[in-house]
Amino acid sequence: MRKKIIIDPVTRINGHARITIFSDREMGVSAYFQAKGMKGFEELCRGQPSEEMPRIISRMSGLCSWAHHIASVKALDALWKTEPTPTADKLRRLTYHISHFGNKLLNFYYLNAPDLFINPDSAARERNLTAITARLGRETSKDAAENLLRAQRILQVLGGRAVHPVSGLPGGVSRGITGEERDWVEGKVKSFTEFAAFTLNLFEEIVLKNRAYVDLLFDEGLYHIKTNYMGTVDEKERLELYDGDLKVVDAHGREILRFRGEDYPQHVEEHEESWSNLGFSHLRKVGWKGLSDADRSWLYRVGSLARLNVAYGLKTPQAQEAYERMLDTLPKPCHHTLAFHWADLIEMLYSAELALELIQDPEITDNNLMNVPENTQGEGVGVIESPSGTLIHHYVTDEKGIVEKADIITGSNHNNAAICVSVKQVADGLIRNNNTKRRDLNKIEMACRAYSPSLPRL
Amino acid sequence: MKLKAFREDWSQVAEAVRKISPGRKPKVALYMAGGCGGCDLSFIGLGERFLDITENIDVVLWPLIADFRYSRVKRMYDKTIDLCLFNGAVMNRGQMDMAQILRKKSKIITAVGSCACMGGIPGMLGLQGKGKEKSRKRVKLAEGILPLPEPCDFISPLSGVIDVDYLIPGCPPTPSMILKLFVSMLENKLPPKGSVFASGRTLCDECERARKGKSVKVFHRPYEKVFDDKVCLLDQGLLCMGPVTRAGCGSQCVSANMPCRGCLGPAEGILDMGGAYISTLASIMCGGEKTTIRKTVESIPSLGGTVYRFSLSSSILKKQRRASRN
Amino acid sequence: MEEYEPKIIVFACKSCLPKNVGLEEIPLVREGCVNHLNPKLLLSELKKGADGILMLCSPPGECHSAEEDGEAFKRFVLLQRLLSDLRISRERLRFECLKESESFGFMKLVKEMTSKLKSLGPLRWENEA
Repeated sequence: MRKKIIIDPVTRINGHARITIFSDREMGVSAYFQAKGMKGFEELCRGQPSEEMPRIISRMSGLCSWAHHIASVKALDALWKTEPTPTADKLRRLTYHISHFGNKLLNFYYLNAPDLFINPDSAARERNLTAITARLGRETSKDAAENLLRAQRILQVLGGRAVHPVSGLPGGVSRGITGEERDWVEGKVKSFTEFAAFTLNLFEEIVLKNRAYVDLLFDEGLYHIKTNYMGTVDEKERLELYDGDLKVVDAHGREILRFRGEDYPQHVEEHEESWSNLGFSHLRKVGWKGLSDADRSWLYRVGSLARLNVAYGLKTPQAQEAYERMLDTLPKPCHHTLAFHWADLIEMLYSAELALELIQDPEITDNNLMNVPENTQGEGVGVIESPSGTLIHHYVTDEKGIVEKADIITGSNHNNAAICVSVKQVADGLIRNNNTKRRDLNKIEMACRAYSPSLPRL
Repeated sequence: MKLKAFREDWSQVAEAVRKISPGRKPKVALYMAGGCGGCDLSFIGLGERFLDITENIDVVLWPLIADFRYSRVKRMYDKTIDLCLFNGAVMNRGQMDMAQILRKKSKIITAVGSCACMGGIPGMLGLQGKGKEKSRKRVKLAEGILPLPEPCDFISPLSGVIDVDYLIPGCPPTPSMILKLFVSMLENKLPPKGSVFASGRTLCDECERARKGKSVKVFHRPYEKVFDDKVCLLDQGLLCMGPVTRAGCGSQCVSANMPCRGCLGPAEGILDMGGAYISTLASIMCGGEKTTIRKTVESIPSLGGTVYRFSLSSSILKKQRRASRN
Repeated sequence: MEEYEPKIIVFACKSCLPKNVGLEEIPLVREGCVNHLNPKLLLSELKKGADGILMLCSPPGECHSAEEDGEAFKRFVLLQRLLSDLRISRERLRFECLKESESFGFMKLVKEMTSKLKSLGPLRWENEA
């Protein structure tokens, strides 16, 4: 007899999704991860001035609004044949890294904390903010909350608004930073590096010493798929979150592809399934092989763990040390899906350290903020490594710079197939004799949350 | 930018929460329809004040943070929920149903954010013209049937579906604006039903830039040059929506030297932001020959997409009467 | 099926309206000087079912509210542009200056507009190209 289990909504993710599990003694278990976000966001950009895009397209996701804003601005630079001034470039990087830090903090202490700090098997009413505060202590919860607040305040000052910023323009930014503001920001960014280091320590002390969680982390039947990985690196193969070469490695860590962001159409294409609003991006070189168990070698993943699998090191000292500690415990490339949470924290520290370098750069307070552009070349691509993975913005405009077509590929598009496979893997692993325990359903959702999907608008 | 704007006094929240009698935490539901998550992030961005509030309320639904499903709310008796914060535009059947269920189960419903208040940026789809294809309701697979979200014919603010008690506009509202709602509730000092948690005045009333009262011959686009950060942006030929937009956000965008795009919605007494802004533009535009006037208007790259950026779904032309449920 | 009879709304002040035209021959009129025209009134008419709008003005220099002479044309152009961005044909909005006594000119205008609106079809603005 066929059983159908529905998890709706999938909680503690950004956006709307449903997981449907079919379980049958003969046919076995199959699971479908359906992204239910609004379709059509690319269409609504048509006819709008391209310089408005950073302010419109950021509304694809409130949690990742800065990633969209910056990717959009980079696409505008290419479109308008201009480059930001050195100060504008530094300000964009600074704000981007601070937003990345804030996003990782939110993901760890709010969205995923119940699974990391409270027993994933517990009842829903026990997995709440009060319980997390009790587990971590009021002081730690307060530090997390206050560091997020500090990040938001800096972003509001520099970007106009903390969520859905406005300052990005082709050729630069609309707002600089004064000396007084610089000092104010530096103090806060120092606290970010301290807090990120503290968080990694907390992870090791609480999560990595929790036998039950570590068993799940290393469980190769539940949270483990051998895939390819894509991320961005600099000329020394170090992790790049802002700008660099896109690199793909296979399940053994060997490079199979390398390209510049603007060449993405030659390498990435999208497949649609009728049951999901989210497109499935896949590599042309490897092709789309379907979501069945038969062949998974064609899958690839993006995001923090993928980026650390692709890179050979990090540019800043504390983050590099944290990376080496992770490699003491986990293989490289690491295929353990739950390790995304560990990789997230390394990137959180990395972002904080990079932000500190930038705020201490003497050029950051310069007044030269804009290389005013003159005309367009009709097309532009901007790429950034967002918290949920490689984010690509591609605009085609008329000669006046009015948008004719917009193509956005998010980290969630790249990861969609892997999320579907991961969810099915856990469902398959936990459902025994056609019997699902209620408490196992959260563990199925954990397979999806690891990817920090961004699904409100697609 | 004045740093003082950010040293706001939020200590009143700590005061308010201390006054709540123990044992009766207000039940609060937070639901996102066709939103982006920004309003939730703005609320969480209150820092320690966020912890103060959440320690003193009973969150009964919040898919971003808690693991309760919609079925929990559906099972409740009517008017069990003290306060519901609803963000996002109503875009599909499921969201419309949830709006109606939450209305029944909640004493107070607040539309949070431009999408819930006015339709928001998703409403811009209305500029594209309707597609003719019929959307599918379900997909039949070998294993069984998967339902699909049924999009509504129109993108609707929350008031297009149910009666709304309060509005907190903004995309997203600032943390302070959301804080005001919680403080009012916790202190039992909620304003009259229908109130908006923002100023009734326009952004211009609170903007500190110098007005030159210039006549504009050509409108500019924000990338065309570096604009003076002490002079009114409209005077400099940028389409700043300040004259028709509510104040209450602290003039964030203008402080970053970018024109306001109207996310807090129309100021008191304005029904249609586009229509009202036409009057503003007519009054600052140069007069003269018909060809000159036409040229000035054509220098605007997108009028509809700018003046109705957040409010198209609640504009005079696009607003839908509340449909009866059938 | 009923034949489509375009509904035209005229915005004009008393002094701009032709004097010698029978009531049943002129389309619906909203009285008020177009130099002061509140755009929301025009938008409301379109929402209520108008297929076209005619704004009537005195010739330049002859308006009774002299200091705002010329305002009307600005509003007209802006509204035309706004409607066009909303996929409503610019030709649904028309602006004309008529001498006070020109009733023949007025009827000709109405006839032209009716014919144009007939060819455009009724305003179901979601579907306009």
